[in-house]
Amino acid sequence: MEHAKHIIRAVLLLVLIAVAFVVVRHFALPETFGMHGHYRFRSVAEHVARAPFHGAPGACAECHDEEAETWSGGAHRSVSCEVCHAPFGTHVEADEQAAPMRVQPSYLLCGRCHQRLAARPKEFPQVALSDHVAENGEEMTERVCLECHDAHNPSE
Amino acid sequence: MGEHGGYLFPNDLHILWELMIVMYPYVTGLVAGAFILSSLYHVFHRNELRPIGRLSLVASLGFLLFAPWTLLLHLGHPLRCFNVMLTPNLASAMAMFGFIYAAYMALLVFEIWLVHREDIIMLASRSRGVTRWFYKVLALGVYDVSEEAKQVDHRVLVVLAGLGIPGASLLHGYVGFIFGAVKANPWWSTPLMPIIFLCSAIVSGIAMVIILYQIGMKFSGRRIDPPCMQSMARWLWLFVILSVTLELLEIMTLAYERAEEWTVIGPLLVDQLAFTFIGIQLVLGAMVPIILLGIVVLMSRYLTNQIRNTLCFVASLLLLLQVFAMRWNVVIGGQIFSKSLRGFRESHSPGLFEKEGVALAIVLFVFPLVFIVLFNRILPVFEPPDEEVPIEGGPCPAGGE
Amino acid sequence: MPTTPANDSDAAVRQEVDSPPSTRREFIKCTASAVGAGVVTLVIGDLAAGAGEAGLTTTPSDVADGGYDWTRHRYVYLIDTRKCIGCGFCVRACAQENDVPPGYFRTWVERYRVSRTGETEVDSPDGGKNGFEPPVSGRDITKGFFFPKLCNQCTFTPCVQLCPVGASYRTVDGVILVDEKRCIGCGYCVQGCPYGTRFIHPEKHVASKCTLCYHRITRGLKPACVQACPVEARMIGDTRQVGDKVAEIIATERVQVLQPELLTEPNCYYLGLTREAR
Repeated sequence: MEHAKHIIRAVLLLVLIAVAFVVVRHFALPETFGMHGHYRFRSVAEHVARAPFHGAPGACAECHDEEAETWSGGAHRSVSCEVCHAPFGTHVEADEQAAPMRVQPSYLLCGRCHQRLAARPKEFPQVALSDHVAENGEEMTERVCLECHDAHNPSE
Repeated sequence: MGEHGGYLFPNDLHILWELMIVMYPYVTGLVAGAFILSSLYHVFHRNELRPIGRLSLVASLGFLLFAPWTLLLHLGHPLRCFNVMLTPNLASAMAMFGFIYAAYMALLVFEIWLVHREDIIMLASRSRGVTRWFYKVLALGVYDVSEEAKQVDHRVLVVLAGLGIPGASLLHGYVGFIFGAVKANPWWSTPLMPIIFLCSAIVSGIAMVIILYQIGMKFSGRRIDPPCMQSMARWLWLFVILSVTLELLEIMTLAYERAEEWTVIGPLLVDQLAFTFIGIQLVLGAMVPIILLGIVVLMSRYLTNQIRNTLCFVASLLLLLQVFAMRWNVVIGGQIFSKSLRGFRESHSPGLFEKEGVALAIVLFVFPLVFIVLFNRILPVFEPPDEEVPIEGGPCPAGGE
Repeated sequence: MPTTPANDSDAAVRQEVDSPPSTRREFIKCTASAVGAGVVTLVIGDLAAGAGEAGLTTTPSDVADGGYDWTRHRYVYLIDTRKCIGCGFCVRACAQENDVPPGYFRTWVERYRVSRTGETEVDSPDGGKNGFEPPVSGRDITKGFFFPKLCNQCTFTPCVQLCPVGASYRTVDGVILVDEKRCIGCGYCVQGCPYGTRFIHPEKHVASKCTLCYHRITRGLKPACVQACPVEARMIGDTRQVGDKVAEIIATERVQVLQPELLTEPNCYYLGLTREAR
């Protein structure tokens, strides 16, 4: 051991570095880390705290009861208002109207569900759009579908 | 969605791991390879390798110092890199990086310090002023160079170098494991991956030391030691053959089994990766060096020193390229096809001046070489010559065994 | 080089350091043991915190407002591919609800067209966000269907296993989330997901993925994609609620999961999964 002094010093130096690491790590550990598993628990709360952008079911009917009435009796009652209109959050903020509701009254919107596609389930109501319009003697315009169908209750 | 077409998952349109992730296994491979070469001398007492005993250690340290920079350049949040050591997820292969790296760094520095201790003490006694203080700190204030102390040094050195072999294997085998353990990717997921990585790491390490040694000798005007060069060529030959065999075995197994993933990997190898895989990894980078080194190993008695050195130098350069191509084919190749197994991206080429571009990759490759030069100004990288016997141009005396 | 330097200056150097007073040794010993004890305490403290003894009853509501108890929920997702009409409103709703950057997808819809000879064409233009156009080529399609995809919320998920820093995790109610404040953006989880449902957010530079709209389901709302689906092809269930409709379907009908051979045990089930889909 008499001649191993330098080895002891070198090892001590390494141990010192390791100790410094453990101490620094202790104080640098994020709060709530490891409470439920190997993650920062507060992150869960951060996810929860985000505000929903699409509204709860029935949120639209609070102001638009008439439209809701028509809609709830028709074949489109399984289609949420926000699908054809826009997310609740674009229209309402803190129970006040923040901006006008955007609508897209176009055959393109209708076609997303009702254009005939080979991959669509056969029983789902669908048409070859241009043929269907021609058969009924209409011009292919933006609002052509609405000439015959009420979007809120299309079978009428 | 390229002309190669097919269907890619919509999130798979982007190559996520780019050039820096190719550089990372390449550079750590050089670290591990150079170290294992040095162990042949320090642990297994292959005394003909004495001339590169120090050089290979210092080269290993040089590349180790710059290995993390490839990762830092890749990370989305490089400033959070210490999270890997702060809250390492013990289930993650990647989380071990910080600890394996730190432990290996400690071991390597310790070993280099022991190898150079006598020089440090001598330089401390010879110099003045700040330089003197610098060397005194380096010596940790102990100036014992008695025979007993040297024996202690030697014993510790053998233990360290011995520990270093599993250490280097771990450091690089684990890099292979990072890829081999991704079961979502059929081109990566194979238990052979760590072994393939390790073998090609040793190849690149030896090739790098051969080149550095020859250049170093050229610049210092000293003679390249023929037995040393012959020995390195032999080891290199062995490991290239091993490495290429393993690389081919993996692919042949996939092809022969007609494994599910072969439907994408087959086309990948002959189409998108045709140049880097068949052209470089197999032909130019493997077949040619195997022949060149074969000449050196099998026909040693007919070679002049100069021809031997040239053959070794060229083979080493090609092998450095081969190993890089192999890393490229693994990292980029694994991302060319989509996980849908129905489509391919366009083949990938990195930009020049971006975060993961060619320019920075070259800089990261040159820095370790600069480090070796700087190190050489502080402490000698090349072993002091014992007694110089100038035999120029003659056949190698110890070459053919 | 000479190996034993024995000139005067060297002797002087040696003398400076080679005479440690015995008191110094004592001092070092004391300090070392004190530091050692301190370190041991720190390590044990950190490990104990990791074991989470204090945490078993805590719920997200203890940290945030509201009365949500995550031990009383376990979410499952069910997709009936036979109902999906490929309108893509789910993809659009998801992007709007979660501010998903263009060109990246937390959910998407694939279209499969299989000919009589078994040739399969798959496409998903912009993830199906704008619906699907009729195909240009008039190949004889004998089997066609739409196939929605999203994070499978696997029980044994590779992404959480691979995350080096504990930024990806699985909640008690069975949702895989990303801690955007700790993610280092290495992309390992993206590589590790067999379903391709993760991506690195181009502006935040962290991993991003479907959260099952965790901010909605914890308020008793449905995820945006489920709410937007006009044909009930997408459903969310809760196996810890008695009489849950979706949990009942999964328990009684022949449901399948994607790539079951990988044993990730997805919690996203499919009705009408066929061999072409992967």
